[in-house]
Amino acid sequence: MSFLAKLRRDRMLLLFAAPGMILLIAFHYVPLLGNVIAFQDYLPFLGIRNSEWVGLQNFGVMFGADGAFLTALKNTLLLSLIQTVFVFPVPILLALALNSLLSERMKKLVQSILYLPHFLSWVIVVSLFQQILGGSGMLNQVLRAHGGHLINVIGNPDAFFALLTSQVIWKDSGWATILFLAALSRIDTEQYEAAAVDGASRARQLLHVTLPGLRGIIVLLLILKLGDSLTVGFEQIILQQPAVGQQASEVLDTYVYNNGIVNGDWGTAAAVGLVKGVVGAALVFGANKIAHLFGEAGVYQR
Amino acid sequence: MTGTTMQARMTLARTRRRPLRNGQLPPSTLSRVLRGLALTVCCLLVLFPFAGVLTTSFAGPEDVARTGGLVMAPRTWSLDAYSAIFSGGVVTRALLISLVVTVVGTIGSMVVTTLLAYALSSPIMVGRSWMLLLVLLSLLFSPGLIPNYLMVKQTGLIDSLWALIVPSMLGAFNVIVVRAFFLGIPTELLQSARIDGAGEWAIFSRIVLPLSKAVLAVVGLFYAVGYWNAFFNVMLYINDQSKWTLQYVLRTYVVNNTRIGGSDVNVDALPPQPALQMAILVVSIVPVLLVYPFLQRHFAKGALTGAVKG
Amino acid sequence: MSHRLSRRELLRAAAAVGAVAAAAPALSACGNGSSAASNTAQGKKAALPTYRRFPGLPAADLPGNENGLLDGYTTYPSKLIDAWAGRKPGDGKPVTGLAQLNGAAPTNLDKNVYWQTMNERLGSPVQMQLVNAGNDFNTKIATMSAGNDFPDIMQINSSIPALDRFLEAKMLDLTPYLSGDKVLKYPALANIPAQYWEACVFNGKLFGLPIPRGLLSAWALYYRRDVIEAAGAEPKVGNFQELYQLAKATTDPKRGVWAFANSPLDYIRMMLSIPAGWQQVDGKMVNSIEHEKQQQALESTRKIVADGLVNPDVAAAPPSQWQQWFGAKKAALIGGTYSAWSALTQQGVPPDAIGIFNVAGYDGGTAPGWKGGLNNNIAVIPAKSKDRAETLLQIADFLASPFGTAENRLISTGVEGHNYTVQGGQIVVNQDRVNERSLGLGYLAAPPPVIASTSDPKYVTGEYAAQQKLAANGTMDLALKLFSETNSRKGPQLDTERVNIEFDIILGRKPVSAWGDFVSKWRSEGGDKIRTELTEASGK
Repeated sequence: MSFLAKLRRDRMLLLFAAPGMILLIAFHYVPLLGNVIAFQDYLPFLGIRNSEWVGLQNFGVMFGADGAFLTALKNTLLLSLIQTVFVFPVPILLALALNSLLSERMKKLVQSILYLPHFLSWVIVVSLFQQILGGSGMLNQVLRAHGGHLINVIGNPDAFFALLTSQVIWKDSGWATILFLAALSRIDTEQYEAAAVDGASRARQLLHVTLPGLRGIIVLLLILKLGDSLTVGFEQIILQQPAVGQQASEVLDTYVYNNGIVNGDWGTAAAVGLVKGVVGAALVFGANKIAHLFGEAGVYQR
Repeated sequence: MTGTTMQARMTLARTRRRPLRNGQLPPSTLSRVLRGLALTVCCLLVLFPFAGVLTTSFAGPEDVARTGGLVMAPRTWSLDAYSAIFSGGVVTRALLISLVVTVVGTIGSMVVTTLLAYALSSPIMVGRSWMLLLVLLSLLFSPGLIPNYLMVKQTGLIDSLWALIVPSMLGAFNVIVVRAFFLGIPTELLQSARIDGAGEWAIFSRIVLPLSKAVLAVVGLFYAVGYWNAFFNVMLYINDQSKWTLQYVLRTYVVNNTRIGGSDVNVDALPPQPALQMAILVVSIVPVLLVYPFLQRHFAKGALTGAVKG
Repeated sequence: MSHRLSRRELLRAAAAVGAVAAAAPALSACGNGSSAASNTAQGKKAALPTYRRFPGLPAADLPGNENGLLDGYTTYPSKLIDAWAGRKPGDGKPVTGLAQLNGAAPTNLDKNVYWQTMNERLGSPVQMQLVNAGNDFNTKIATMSAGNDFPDIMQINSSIPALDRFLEAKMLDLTPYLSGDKVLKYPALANIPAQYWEACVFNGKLFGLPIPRGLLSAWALYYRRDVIEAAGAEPKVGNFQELYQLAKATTDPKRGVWAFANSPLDYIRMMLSIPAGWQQVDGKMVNSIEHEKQQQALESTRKIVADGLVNPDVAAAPPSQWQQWFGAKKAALIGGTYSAWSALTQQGVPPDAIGIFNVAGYDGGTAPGWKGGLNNNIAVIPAKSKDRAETLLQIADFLASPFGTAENRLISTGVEGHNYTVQGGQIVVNQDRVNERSLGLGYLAAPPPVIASTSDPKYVTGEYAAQQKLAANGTMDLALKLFSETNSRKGPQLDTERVNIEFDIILGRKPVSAWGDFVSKWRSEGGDKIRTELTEASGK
């Protein structure tokens, strides 16, 4: 079929796609061209036209002599791994637990409670954690009054990743369940009934009906998360950086912030953004390929 | 009620244990207790700090002066913080503007997103693979803030509420999720509709959308919350303070006044800052709390069941 | 040394979406920082406006002096000068302005009597763009610059990279309007002493209007008498040992009380006579970072922290929380700017219980202390507003009306009978209408500061007394008056690194000797370059 004939055939679908694609190109891809400032000593008041071209100089921030960049990279990857292993499954487990609740009303109530923290900004979450768990916080004051052993979580570099992880879980896992609940709701009731008729136990129902029903969305989200591996909670971390020090807390984004953005250095921000994009793309397409090998749809197929 | 009981009795006859309404077998007592316990603990962990937020918002100045932070048990209850934030009409108007932006924005987003996702879920549409690629790559490469600003300026949207809607109307992540759900609709259904002579619009609006209520509710919620929480665009694109959204006003309370020795030598006393902060936080969450149950209905229940059988 | 809080401020403000989206530095938007501007020596004198005291101002009962001591007024003048009697500075057309927002948003215009009155008196309706101080503000300026979308008059901070080039490229040179006797056309602007204007001169041209703060932006150690006396101690510090003992006596973790609400490092530096920022020593520019007593200051602070005399959450909590601890009797001592006094009494500290310690010498005697920044910020007029420059300067002149004029009372306290009433000579502010005034007009033009208070006479005497020694002996960072390109481009980063290493050392995460490594790193990353540029700028 000729291209024109295809266009004719798909004209309705193309019309459907048009508004979204136009928005995407206008408000994402056109401004994306502005990332050429990665190769400039960009000053906003000079604009792209008049700012000085500096070649790859902005990328140099990633090759600092003192190893601070490597520490940041190491922390980032470690934290990404921890969050994938410990944070990612929590909403799935919560969704499963919710889904098996007997009372609909209970289910809705619990869910409504768990998604609340999503609406607090990090400034507030960090402050709440400090006021409750901090060295002079509520919990420790109670412990002091009763001569208990004090807990040392806030401002303890060794516990920092655990603290970050629990903050993320607290804030967002309730919220993240809703996507899985939506996926669960699509599982055909008849499949469960059929399995039950075949004498499947509850565990088998979970294994053979529930999880396969969730698999597609889990794989999809995992792949997208992988693309984000180099990004771990900037705001959450930079707010808490003084308390634990840079050695323990510096991640890629805070490193770029402290070594460039803090100076109003837009070029460096763009440079690191580009590198992160390339790495993310490689990870996403790699993971997508692997997903295909396992017969999953992944996020993208030709 | 009776219908459910009847059905339940019938299924009871078929299986050892009575399944739940969604067809799953009920858990054993032990696992039920454990599960209940775990969820209760989760809820308490969430509720405790939230109780602190709520009680602090009602705390009088002496209470805040006594604890120097969160007030779990105010000795005097006061509505001062609420009356302070609602006086002058700033918060009321911002609330209204946030509602308008959220409603209009979410509707727009849903239209654009579902249409694009449907087109991209077609197995044959010309250009679908590069379009999908563009959607996906937009998640990985983000344009800088200044080029974004210049683009919005080019379109003449500066200082218009549309600036808070149009640039963020299409969420690539949401397109990908909706498309994945659309792909999950049995192709036989769509094929048979095509054979019956249904056009794309008919298939989209009469089959695909009704079958996807759950994911639409979720993505709608994602968008709504996105619009509701946005403050950064307000800072960039809105100059006229009479167009500020609630979250931006909230931000002025949360971010400001964190410095010691502010430059304003003549600032006179304000109500206790923590109470104000918490009160406006509560005000910003309540609307979401009110809307949620209506959406929840859609993703808590199965939608596909009947359709496939029918 | 001067931007003690800048990084914390910026962290609080960093609620921006993602790292890369965030942006630009937030140096010393307020008070204690290296002030708005700096400049070169050449031609500076020529550009400076003549000083002429505003005619008929009431004499201060606590007079200031040339060393920077501010005028103090224990009572509010009952007779005010009607400086603009019947005249209006505006041209009837709206005036747009940009300023930072420090507190809550202002009340809507339709309900805002203050704003309506200002519009009426100025003769031009003001439309302010208000942006949260810190990161948000810097980002806003960056996008404005990129799009050339400046308002008619705007506040800027020293955080703009390559500030001098920015001013040359986009802002109106005010020299033809204000230098020398030309300023006399604007009597309130002429009433601002030359030292504040000096920081508005770049490349020999006058680019801005100063928003003066003087000693109010200097760093001080506050104490709470009631907390100290309840612990059986006396609010008196004669040397480091006494400070330590005082802290020891007031600390009581079981009751949730730690002596210091924040780090005493800067006070201890001052005790050791480490000067402020850049100084010229024997003709050579030296930064206090390189001072030989730095390690001793860090060592002493580290001991105070290690012995549990500072709130254990000091590094985890935001400055607002420090203030709340101090206000809630959970701390006896807190470091803050001289202008923080009234903010602290608003936190619940009784007016007669608060005070500022003079800087005692580490081993007794006294030490000079730091004078802090001169200006909070400068206000500039974009070049595209050239046609209206005179009108805008008239409006600025109105806004800079000094203490003792009816205009000043209107701007700083509001409309009589609405925002405040006068009862038996005392001004009583209507607290419910305070937000009406947060239009940010005070960041566009302002008179020289005075020490005065509507509600707290103790503040006036206490603050005045505390400033006397500092005015006479204090040291001032030379970078406040001299411009260095490298400082403008790299300063915020060097500052961040310094704050980080300080926390690392005083919290015991790194040895005190790590300071030496930092100093060499600082020198190679820009410190030495700044030194060269400042030396050039000083003309020696």
